[in-house]
Amino acid sequence: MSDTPDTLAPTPERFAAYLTEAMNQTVLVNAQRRVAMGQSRAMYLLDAVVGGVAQTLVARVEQSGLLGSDSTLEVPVMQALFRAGYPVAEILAYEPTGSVVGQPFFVMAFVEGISKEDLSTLDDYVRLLHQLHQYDPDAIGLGSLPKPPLPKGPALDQVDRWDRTYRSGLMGEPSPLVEEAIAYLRRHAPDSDRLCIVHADPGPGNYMYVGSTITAVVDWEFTHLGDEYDDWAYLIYMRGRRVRSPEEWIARIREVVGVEIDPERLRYWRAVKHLMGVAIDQTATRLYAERVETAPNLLAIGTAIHLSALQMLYKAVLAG
Amino acid sequence: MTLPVLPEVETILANSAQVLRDVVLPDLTDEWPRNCARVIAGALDYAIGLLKEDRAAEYRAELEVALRGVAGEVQGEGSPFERASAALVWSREHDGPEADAVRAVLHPVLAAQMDREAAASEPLLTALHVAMRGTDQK
Repeated sequence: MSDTPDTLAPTPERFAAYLTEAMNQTVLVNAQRRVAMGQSRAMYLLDAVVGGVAQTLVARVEQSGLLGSDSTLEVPVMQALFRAGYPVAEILAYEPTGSVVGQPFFVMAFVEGISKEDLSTLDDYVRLLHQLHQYDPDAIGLGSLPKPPLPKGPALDQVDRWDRTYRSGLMGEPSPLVEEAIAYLRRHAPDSDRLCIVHADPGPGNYMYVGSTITAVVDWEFTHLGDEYDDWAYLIYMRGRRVRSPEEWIARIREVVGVEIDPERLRYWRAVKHLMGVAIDQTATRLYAERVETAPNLLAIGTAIHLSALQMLYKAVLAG
Repeated sequence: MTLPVLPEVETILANSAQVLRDVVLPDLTDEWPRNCARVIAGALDYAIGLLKEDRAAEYRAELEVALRGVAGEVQGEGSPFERASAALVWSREHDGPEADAVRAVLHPVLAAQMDREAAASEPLLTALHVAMRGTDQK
């Protein structure tokens, strides 16, 4: 009897067999260890021997669409940025079908570094984020990414995306405050002046560094072409809020990369990012309730984390 | 029935959470099992709270009462949550005192429910944050 996607699970043997074929050389995987970093993917460190050379590889395995993302754009984005010289892990193989370990996955080179919040690397990280926003997507091979129409497309596309994601995770009845926020954001979409590559989940915790050198920016599953305020808002109000106040971030961004943040536009995009949090967390509710994914972190994401994001959304845009 | 008194569900959950924290967790060394054990213990605490009260039913009843203060034509039909959703969306698609009044009636009820539910899920939030903090280094 052949394995079906439902019965497959990640094992060293399955990774080794697949990588041997994909990399066209003998790959042994002596051990695998799941790490708890990140939430959207199951991440495995593989102790491998590739063509006789011992090395660590990293397998990033999807989890049934958890957090409303998959690898179909993440992989080409990472590949293009790697070719452009941006600090991104090299992707060595991509298995999109789910026929090997039950879910699509890709394997990337291990990058040395830690992701703990660190004040000494923040300015360099702001420079890297600004650099990302300056790339011409066509020039680095990302011309096929969807291009929302200016001036309001970048905002409206994101609201639509998170609306769809939220609805995909609903268990029957709607959430009134979320519905209200979506209506508000549709009606008040600001203009964007240009399109750029948006990481969409930037900030401390999503880059690695050794000493004072940033070695890799990680978690590209939400990357798209859009408005740079998408990134600034997430950095300032979400990932970066434990290390600097919003006022400090705004001043530092001005000093380091010369970007003058418009407070009203930032306020709108802050609300969009809180909606993103609410929506992606909602996907965990359904996957956990239907027992598609049983890991307990999904219960925490679908309840506590979702509610925390909803409280922020409410305070940011709905209350008063 | 072979036992005159069956064990209480709450006791089983509470004892299981304690054993997970005191016995199982200290002996786990791998990152992912430790993460799971910690969050499962939080999940058991959360489940105990669900057993003690039917908050979903309370929320529906509260919202039903509040909706009496909202004009029927902006509510549409359906459950209290569906009608509250329709009314609030209407309030954001229209300007003026009537739209403001919808929000003034529904926001206090919904915000209080949101805050109460967030407090109830605090064991899960704490467990996940602690688990994630332990995995910063790779």
